[in-house]
Amino acid sequence: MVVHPPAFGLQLKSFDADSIKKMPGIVDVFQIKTLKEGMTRGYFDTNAFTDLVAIVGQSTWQVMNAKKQLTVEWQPVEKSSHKVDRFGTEIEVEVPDGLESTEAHYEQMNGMLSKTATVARKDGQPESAFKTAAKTIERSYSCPFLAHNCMEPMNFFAHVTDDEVLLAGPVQAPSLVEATLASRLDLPLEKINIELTRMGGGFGRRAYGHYAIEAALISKQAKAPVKLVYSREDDMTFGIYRPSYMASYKAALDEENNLVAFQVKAGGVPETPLFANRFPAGAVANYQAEQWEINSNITIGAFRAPRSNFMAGAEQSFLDEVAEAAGKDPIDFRLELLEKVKSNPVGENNDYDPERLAGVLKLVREKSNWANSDPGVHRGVSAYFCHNSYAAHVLDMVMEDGQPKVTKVVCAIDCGIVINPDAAANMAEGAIIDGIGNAMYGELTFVDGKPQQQNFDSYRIIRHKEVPDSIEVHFVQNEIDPTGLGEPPFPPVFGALANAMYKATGRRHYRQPFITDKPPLVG
Amino acid sequence: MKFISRKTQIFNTFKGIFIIMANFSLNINGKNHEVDVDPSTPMLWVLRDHLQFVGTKYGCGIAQCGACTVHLGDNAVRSCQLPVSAVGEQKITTIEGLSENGDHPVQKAWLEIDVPQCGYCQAGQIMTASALLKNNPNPTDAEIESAMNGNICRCGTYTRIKKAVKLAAQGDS
Repeated sequence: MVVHPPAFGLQLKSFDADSIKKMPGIVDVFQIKTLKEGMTRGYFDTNAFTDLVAIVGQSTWQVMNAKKQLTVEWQPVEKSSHKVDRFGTEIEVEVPDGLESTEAHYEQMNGMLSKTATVARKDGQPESAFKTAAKTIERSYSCPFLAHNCMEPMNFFAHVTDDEVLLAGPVQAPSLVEATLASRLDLPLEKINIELTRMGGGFGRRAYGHYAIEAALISKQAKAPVKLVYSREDDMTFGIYRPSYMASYKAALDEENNLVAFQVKAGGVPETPLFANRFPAGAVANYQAEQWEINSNITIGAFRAPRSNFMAGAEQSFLDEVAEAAGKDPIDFRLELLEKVKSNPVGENNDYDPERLAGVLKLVREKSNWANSDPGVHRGVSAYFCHNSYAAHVLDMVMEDGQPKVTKVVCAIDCGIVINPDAAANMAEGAIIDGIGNAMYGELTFVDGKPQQQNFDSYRIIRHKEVPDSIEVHFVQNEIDPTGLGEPPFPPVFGALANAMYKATGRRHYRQPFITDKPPLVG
Repeated sequence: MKFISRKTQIFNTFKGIFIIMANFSLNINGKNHEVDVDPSTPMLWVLRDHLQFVGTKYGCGIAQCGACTVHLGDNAVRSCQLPVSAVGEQKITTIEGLSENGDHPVQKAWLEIDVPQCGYCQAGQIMTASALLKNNPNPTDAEIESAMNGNICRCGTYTRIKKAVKLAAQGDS
């Protein structure tokens, strides 16, 4: 096992190997350096904790016990920078010092809302359009960091000898691990052999294979085959997390309730989630998209539908409110806008096909029997384009003992030709449940750099009782080449859930997770 | 991690405490197995590290996720919280011993519904479901949800798990 700093912003100062060396089953205790000083890192070499203590022993339980007794001292990191190869372009990444907290992150993000940000796209004259509008709606949305929490904690087998390197384990991007390891060990690529095992969940976390490098370095030093195992606590606190984001939206309606101006300003810790050219870009004559970023030493990376997993919920919740302000049905309102993109698009870089986005909305309207919900059932709708596919959900909710419960979700997806319909439906069902779970409960918070949730007693994952009884998945039948499916049904769930919760509870939710968000009643 | 088995009891001193490796005779999947381990060792690690029954998975170590579920007698238990010294003569069944040919009604239902995605939690889900049906052959929806609520599935296969448990119950009756 490895021992890493208990907080982001800390690094290894010293440790006393003798404090545990005599414990039963303990073979060796030593330090490893996962990455070389000054090396140009690969894009997926993200890692806050490159100096680790490794404990080698005969059985997992013995090593777990020894780990608890290890005497180790930590010290604050200093401000630093390193080079990263961003798919062929070398960039310099600045890493700040300090112990960060969730509360401070939200203060910083709220502060950005009133500041000038970088304009990523501008159509027409948004400033004057907002000044002359009949009605203006302005809202902001936010989400916390999320840990991937793959059921199988990070782990890898390694056997490094002078002649060859044999690795085996679960990793999403073995060729990237191979390249980094070749550089780290000063060996040619052909000396490295990585065997893949099934992954007990990936969700993006296993694109970052530092744990495979760690296993190899431990094996090399211990001169033995080893299996590196992360405890659940290691897995949750040594994460490459979904960033914390915030987005503010502004919409203007004219006297006839037409959407005449739209503004989105989005940022996060430490990256922006903005997609400047997505819907409703292209549908509004006066449009502006802006972005900002707040640097951080907390490591972040890909998480099922990166950036979209926040933007879809924010955008689709906001459009629901704009439709309501315009006095229009939320599906009709979206379809009207999509019709404009189809017939007379604004701008040239819109990155979605309005017909296909409208297609999933029409299909979900039909399959859910949108206009005729049962009494006591509250419905929310949402549609989104990402990873080259289109997904729309209608989510049904009832109030049970004063608590909102999702009873049914009807979903329509256009991902081109579906090769394996049953597995595809399974994946979409899972994405919907994952979306409900993360929107309602998912949250990783920090105090002084330390993750406050370390295991499933404090990090709430959706369970059997919280899952809808029925999920229907419908695929648009066409002959278009297949596109993404792992991600696309996930992001729109956040919006459909928020919109159904508003109908069920009379409250608009702006801050995830919704379970702890207590907004006032609307109206 | 390579385990070196010990035939004799050994004593080790650490901070003044004697840690005793002891010999345990365990009935697992109908066969007798001997291990020499610290009495506090959870059955999860005895199964995985010492006896190579690796179908039982580690997920949290604190009985919150159910990935390590095995049967102790007829009941589903979290093996991460079951010290080897507490087992005594009670029979343990792991996923490897649930049926000889993978044809337990619950396993058949799992195949029929095509439940798993990544698969990591599924052995635990199947062990909880099979213990439920053994003790309650025709559970209501609420009883299924209650029994299964301690088993987390991060891929979100819950609706299919529930369908498969119901199918297995029908197959049994």
